[in-house]
Amino acid sequence: MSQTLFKSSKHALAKSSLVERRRRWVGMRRLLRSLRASPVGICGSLIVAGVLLVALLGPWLTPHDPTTANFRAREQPPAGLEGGSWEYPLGTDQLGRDILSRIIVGTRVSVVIGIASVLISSVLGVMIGLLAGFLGGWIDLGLMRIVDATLAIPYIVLVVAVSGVVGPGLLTLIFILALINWQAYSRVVRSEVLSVRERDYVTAAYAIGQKKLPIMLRHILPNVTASIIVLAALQVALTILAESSLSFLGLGVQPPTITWGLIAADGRELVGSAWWIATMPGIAITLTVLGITFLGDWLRDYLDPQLQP
Amino acid sequence: MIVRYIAYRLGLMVISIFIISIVVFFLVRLKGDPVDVMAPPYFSEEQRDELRRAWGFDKPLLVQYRIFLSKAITGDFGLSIAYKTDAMRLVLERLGWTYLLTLAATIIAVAIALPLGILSALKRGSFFDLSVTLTVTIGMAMPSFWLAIVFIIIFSANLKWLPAFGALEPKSIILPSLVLGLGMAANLSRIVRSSTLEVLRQQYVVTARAKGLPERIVIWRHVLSNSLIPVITALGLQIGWLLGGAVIVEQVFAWPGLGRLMVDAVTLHRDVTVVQAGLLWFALSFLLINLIVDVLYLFLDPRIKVTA
Repeated sequence: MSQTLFKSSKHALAKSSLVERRRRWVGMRRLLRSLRASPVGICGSLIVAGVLLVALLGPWLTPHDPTTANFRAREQPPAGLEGGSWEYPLGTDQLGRDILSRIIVGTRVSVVIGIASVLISSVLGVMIGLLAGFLGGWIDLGLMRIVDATLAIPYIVLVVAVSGVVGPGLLTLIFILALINWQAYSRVVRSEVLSVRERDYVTAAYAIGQKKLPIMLRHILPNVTASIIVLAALQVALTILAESSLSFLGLGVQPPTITWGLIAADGRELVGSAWWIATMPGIAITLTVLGITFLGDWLRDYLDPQLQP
Repeated sequence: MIVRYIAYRLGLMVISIFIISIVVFFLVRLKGDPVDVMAPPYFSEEQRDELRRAWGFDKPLLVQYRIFLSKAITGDFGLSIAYKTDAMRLVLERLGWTYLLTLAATIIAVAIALPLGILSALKRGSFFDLSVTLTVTIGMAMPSFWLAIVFIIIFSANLKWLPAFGALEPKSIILPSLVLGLGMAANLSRIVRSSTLEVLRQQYVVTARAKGLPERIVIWRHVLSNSLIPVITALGLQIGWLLGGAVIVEQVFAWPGLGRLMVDAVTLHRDVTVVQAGLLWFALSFLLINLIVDVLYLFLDPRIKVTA
């Protein structure tokens, strides 16, 4: 008896996973169709895919070695300008290093920092937001006061202060950017939880005797994921901006490592003679951030059609 | 009623500042021993011990915090390690420069964002609207240090119109405030646009048009006076962003403000007292501006009921 029961439940499980797979496939098709219809979405995903590819393949794509100095080719302007050549499409810096190669290699650092710190901060922020929204009362009040208070210190100011005290470094930078960035998630998640909490299916879950934690994870979390994904996409863009600014100020990633902010800092004193050193990495940053923003905008429209401005 | 609301908000502000003071207090102790942060690497063990005793780092943490708080309330953050003068006075000297820059940037931002946002809302979907939206999105994607460099290259290095560094003549403020203001204008015009669109959908606008009022009066009297109210709140929050942006812009343009003082304190001297006092002033400025904005809001929008 128990044997057959076990068998049939196993069968049902297999069947349900088939249904699941089918549903996922339909979902994929819907996603692609929506993407095709949105020029902003196409543009954003192309840029983001390109940036990710460059970040992944970085060292194999560079036309020159990004660290070797070539004193015979110092401060060469980009191709197309007087004195420039296609040998160095974006020109060279004061040591004759190829700027294009340096930008390509720098992509990986920015992408890794952006994604890693957003992952950490979103997990932290979502947990705190869920707790505050769901438990309410004193916990909510206390947590939200902390969120409000820390938001009063401008983001970049706090990053500067903390990284100045702790000392620079890749890993510390990731954590600093994450620890200062969780409040946005907490706020969004909390306000969503407050509205979802009163829905009938949550009351029903209570009524059949479910505990608080399963309700939070099974009924409330899935309903806030759409907002979290959109927010996270935009936060990756903001984090990349913050990282480049910090590295530019000398408080972020440190010299032997190559990042966009550092390349720009290298060219800062030479804006009169070799303007391309400081400006080229900025174009890479702007393009990347723009791509992520486009992708995020499309994602928002796709995930939450009601939210359109 | 309004007095009670202000008292309530001031109470919240005190709590916020208390939390910030804890953040500021622990900031120096993030690495464990604050002497690691403050002492130059060549200090001997005896000198480090002396520093530890002089600053009271050998006392229990709670006692240290009590001493820190009771001194901080009177504005005493100790001497600046680099300048050998009172850290608070140093910060206050530089604060005016940052306020000046922020004010100039706000004026530029409002002057650009209001017409752009309103026009693109009124001509929604037009070529003008699309190009404004695109420009704004690109503007928000640009790092401010980069925009600053581009402006220096164009206006100082090549055209030689404007000074690129320092604050020696009145012209010096143009470039830094323009960089800051343009960044803020991008954000602000988006808010102006969506808030104007929101008002255009309202019933009283439909009614005003149905009454046969000229479009000019509908726009000026019925739409704009209402759509600009939420913009004021946004402005308050944006000023926080502006204060942060000032840190980077001041550094690029060598503007003698609080942001530059703090970055120098952190990178050159590890001047923790200045960092602590600076952080507190940044937060205080932000909280005060938002309090003023919210009180202003009460007078501007009679529909709003105080919920204190």
